[in-house]
Amino acid sequence: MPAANAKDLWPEDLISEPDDKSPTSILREQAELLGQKTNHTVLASVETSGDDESGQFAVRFVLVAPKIDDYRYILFRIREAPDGYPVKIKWDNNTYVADNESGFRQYVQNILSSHQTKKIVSKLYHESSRRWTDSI
Amino acid sequence: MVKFLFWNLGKQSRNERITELVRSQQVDVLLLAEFVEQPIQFAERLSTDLNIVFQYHQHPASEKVYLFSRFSADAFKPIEGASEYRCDVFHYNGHEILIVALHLIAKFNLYLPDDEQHERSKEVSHEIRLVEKKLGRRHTIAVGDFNMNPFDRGMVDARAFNAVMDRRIAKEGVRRIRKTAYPYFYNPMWNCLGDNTPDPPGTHYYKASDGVCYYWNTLDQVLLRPDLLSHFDEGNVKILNSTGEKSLLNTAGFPNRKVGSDHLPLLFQVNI
Repeated sequence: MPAANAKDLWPEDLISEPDDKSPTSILREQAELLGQKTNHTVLASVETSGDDESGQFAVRFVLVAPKIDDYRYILFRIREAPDGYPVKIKWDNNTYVADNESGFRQYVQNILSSHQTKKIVSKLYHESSRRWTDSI
Repeated sequence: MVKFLFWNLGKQSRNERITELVRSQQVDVLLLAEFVEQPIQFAERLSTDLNIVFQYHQHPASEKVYLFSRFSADAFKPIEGASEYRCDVFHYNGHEILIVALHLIAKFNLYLPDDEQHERSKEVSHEIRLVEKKLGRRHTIAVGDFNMNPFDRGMVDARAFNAVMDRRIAKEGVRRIRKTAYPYFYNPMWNCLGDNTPDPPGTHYYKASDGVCYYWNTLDQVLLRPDLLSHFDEGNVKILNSTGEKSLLNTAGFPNRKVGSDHLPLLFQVNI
């Protein structure tokens, strides 16, 4: 219990909102959106595992096709620091570094709207539809 | 017994060479990287040339390594893919073997940080372990162009491929680091290094300008989990320098791109 005459030196805004949304939470939002866009034919999930050595989190953005026996495709990976940024993005043969949320969003948008990603999602979608048609 | 052949074709069209190899080595499963042909037409042509049905086993999304075999379409069940690899469960003779066919990022990529290849090896290895966990067994063969030598960190590090040269160590099962158990791979490619074998000293030749230069690199490798070692004998893996009809080496004794590729084919057999 502080003394009655103790002066409060703590600032009013001691607990502030985080400046940037974490990379993982941004990816989770995008993963949910994919299901909506494909009538839940192609889903996405975000998987995380820790790296003892670096203290970073290894995160995978995974496409899942439930109608192709839950076939999975790892679209890209990120290495996230415990405090979020900077974050390393690994896609195909490339590695990028985003220092903040806006930079990260830009890289993710580039990946998701790339010809390569569209081709992969389309293949999974059409193969799923074909299997579904064959099964009825 | 099943014979596998992996070949990085270096984006060359080599239909005749492949037919010669499959015929002379009686290959059952063909895995091709940097393959530029139309796979369905290629399988039809191969089947015609060999007078035996060769199936193209398409993966839903992964196109890094193309897989063809003498087996029926349902012999290989695709379960996971990524930009560097494809995972299929191979059903044969009562066995279920996880085949991870891969082509990892280039060793000589100037645009990547030094440790990136090592880090990617750890990530891919972790993903293989997750697939094995899902399947509930470790009957795994990893084969392809690792873009690393057997002694590189990404091959040896327990948190990466954990691939050892001694099958007795591999048979111990796992290596523990800070309470985490990492399963071993056995890497028979260690026996293929250097010029004291009847086969070429490596699978790829590269004369670098910097001081450290191995000249021959063994980038194309096959790794086996210890559970499969009872089905694999020493001498079951070979680096090929000929298709049986044509030499794949130039007059200096290095891989000849004009006839084959900058990589030599890797042949191995599993006794199942």
